[in-house]
Amino acid sequence: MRNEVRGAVRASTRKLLIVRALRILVQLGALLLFGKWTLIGLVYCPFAIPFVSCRSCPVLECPGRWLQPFAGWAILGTGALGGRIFCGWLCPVGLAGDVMRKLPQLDLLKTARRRFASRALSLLKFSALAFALLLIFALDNPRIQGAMRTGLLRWDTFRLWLAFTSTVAKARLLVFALGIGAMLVASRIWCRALCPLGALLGLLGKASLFGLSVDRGRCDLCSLCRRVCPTDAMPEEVDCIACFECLPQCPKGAISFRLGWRKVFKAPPRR
Amino acid sequence: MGRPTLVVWACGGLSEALRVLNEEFERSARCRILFTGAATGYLADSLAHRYRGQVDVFVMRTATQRPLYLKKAKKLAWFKLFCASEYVVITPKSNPARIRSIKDLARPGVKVAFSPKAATPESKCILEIVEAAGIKGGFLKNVVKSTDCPRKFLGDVVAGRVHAAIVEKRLACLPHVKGKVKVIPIPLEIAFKGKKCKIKSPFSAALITLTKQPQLAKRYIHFLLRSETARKVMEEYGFVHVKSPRMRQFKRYLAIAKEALVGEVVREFVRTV
Repeated sequence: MRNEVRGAVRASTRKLLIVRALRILVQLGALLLFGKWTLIGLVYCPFAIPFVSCRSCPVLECPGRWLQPFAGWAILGTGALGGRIFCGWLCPVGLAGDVMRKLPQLDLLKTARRRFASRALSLLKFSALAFALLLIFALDNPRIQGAMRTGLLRWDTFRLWLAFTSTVAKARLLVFALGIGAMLVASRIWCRALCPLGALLGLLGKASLFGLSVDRGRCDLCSLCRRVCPTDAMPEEVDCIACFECLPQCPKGAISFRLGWRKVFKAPPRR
Repeated sequence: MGRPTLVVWACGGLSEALRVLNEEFERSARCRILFTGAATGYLADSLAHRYRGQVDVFVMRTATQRPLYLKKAKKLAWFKLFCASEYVVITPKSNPARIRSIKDLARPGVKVAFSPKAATPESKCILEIVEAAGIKGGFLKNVVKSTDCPRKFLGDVVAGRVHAAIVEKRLACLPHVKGKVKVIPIPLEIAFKGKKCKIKSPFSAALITLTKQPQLAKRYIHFLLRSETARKVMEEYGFVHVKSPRMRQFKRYLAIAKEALVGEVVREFVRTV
């Protein structure tokens, strides 16, 4: 009996390793597709909220001009399909967070005593989402800086930009830099606390077609899933990025992968 | 030996057209062009006060004050008129408000788009034009779409949500707009009556003293000013090239420093003699 359980655990661990490798491959592919757009958007986008008004954007070198009309809807579509699966599998900032997580880090928000702070920060991203929606729909996503149109990935252009761009644009870059850099000390803190897109996808994920689910009857709230989760979330929570790290770890086997309302894969309890 | 590198700075509005010309020049001169397109003001200030790296050619908006200022600051060796921007009225392809001339923009019921907070050539110059046409009050009353950048309302014109707008012709030649709007010219005596329009419409190409490739830079400027390819491309992107027959008419209205035209004057003289 014990051997059977061990075998099942080994098999589910193997599946996790395959999923992990697949996730890294997909993330690297997405980095090729979205990397330049992300970098240029975070620094040079002339509009207050980057990645949104690409059709009206004069920044010639930004791939968002041709990518956004398709990718924008596709990303929202992933929200309806699998919640924050974009954050876990496709987002270049998320990949940066995963890389930083592999570095020896001082995870300030991981300890039980600071869980409350973690929850409060998690709510912050909804304020960021509300602010972003206000700027986009009520103020027509205002321009906050003049556009550098070409030569954007060169150091001399960045220095020119630094010398002449508006204070608001510099402040925005500082927020991005601090938020993303903070992932060195708190795992995926940008995704958990500040990312408006993450908040939107998390909300869409509440009615998503597939994702991880937890059997409340079996779950004994041991929080092991939280501990292995990059975003400190349990399945079905807004911050779950569908990375599948928690699936084989549950000692009660309470976590399963669902398609619609049907459980299609369930890992055995890990003892 | 690698290919020589030419550093070209240019006014952002020229970026689309210059990217095409740069590729052409890179092929023909077997060099590499590092191209930076941004607001002329940023680039000129940087050249005058801060920047110490390599810049070979600067293609800027205006052919008077700014290049003369840079020359005084010993950052610019010489400059020549390159092209000019033209103002036009654009309407949806179907022209639902039956706009025939700029005067029609003041007619009651016409929905107009305007960017009062955009850069000078896209805001103050347009105010000068409507003032020169004697329709400023009516035009401003008809504004239903007010944005901080003219690119934001181009989609509305294409879709027919607004009836008309005054823009630089280069915007009507952007790939997602070209052929989808009707372009109505504005008479030059109205378009260039105001001082700002006279100053901001011409573009000049200058040889910068920080150049490390003077011969290649001269060859590049010559390519921009004299080649048939450059004329065709600039016209395709909505500019009036210095070689274009229409430039003769434009020169009467634009503010252009004499030295930007010296070559022209000499050629004209030789032709006459």
